Amino acid sequence: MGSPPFFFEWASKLLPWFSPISFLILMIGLVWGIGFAPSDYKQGDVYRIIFVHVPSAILGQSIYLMMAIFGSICLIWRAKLAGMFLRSAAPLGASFTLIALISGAVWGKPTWGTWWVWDARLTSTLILFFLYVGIIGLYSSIDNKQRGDRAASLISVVGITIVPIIKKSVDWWQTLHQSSTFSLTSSPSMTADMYLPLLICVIGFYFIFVALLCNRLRAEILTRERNTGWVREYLNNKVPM
Amino acid sequence: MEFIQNILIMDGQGKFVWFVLLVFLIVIFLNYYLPYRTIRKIQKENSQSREE
Repeated sequence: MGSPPFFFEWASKLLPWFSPISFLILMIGLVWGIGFAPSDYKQGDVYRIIFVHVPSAILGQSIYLMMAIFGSICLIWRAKLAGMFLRSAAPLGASFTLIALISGAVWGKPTWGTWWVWDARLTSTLILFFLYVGIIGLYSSIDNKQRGDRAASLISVVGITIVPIIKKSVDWWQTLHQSSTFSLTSSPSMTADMYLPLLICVIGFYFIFVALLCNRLRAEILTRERNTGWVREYLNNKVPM
Repeated sequence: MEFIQNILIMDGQGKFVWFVLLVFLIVIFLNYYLPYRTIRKIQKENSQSREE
């Protein structure tokens, strides 16, 4: 499983399945949420941003958690594939965190009356985005791939402290941001016809992340292993797309 | 027709919702497209080096 050729083949097989499934789940969730879920009695229709905002924010934090795990694997066992995972996951994490920040700002304008406040939840999420950007920048600035992997792993492991801070920021500090939408210990604070499409969107976002990750990992494996025999053999049997 | 109009306009709040959806779709599209471009570039370079 840790070998790049094996994983490349596995990701290539998984991608054609995950892409349409994730698209389908996401379409069901978004059409249900944006087109058919009832309006909120206080916020009206603008609350529908939740169907993009919450899944993006959850994924932004989950990807960082996964990166910290793979970063530890990379530091302890020097696994080549763990470094490739880090390099491929960082732009995706940055993208989802950016979507969460932009959608939050757009949601904030009509509900809070401002695009941005230096509130604990927003500021900690912005720090998470900067961590992702830092990891991407680190990879771009270090030519040696192994050194780049180790440096990025270190940042991802040290930076993991931001995830519980983001999660708990709404409980620890007085913030404008509402409390967590999803909780494992309490029942949902919204009705089923709002909660179910949101749940479907979250599942759809995870599926789309797997599809995007497989795609990025394929590109990363080919880039790093392009001088190896198996990649030459693979490329020689392929015509340019 | 009225149903579609309601979904699009959303009592004047549609611009916020649709803008967020557009940003999301653009970011997802770029994340799909950029790795494909990298793979295609590697494949082209390989086929060029084979021809040489």
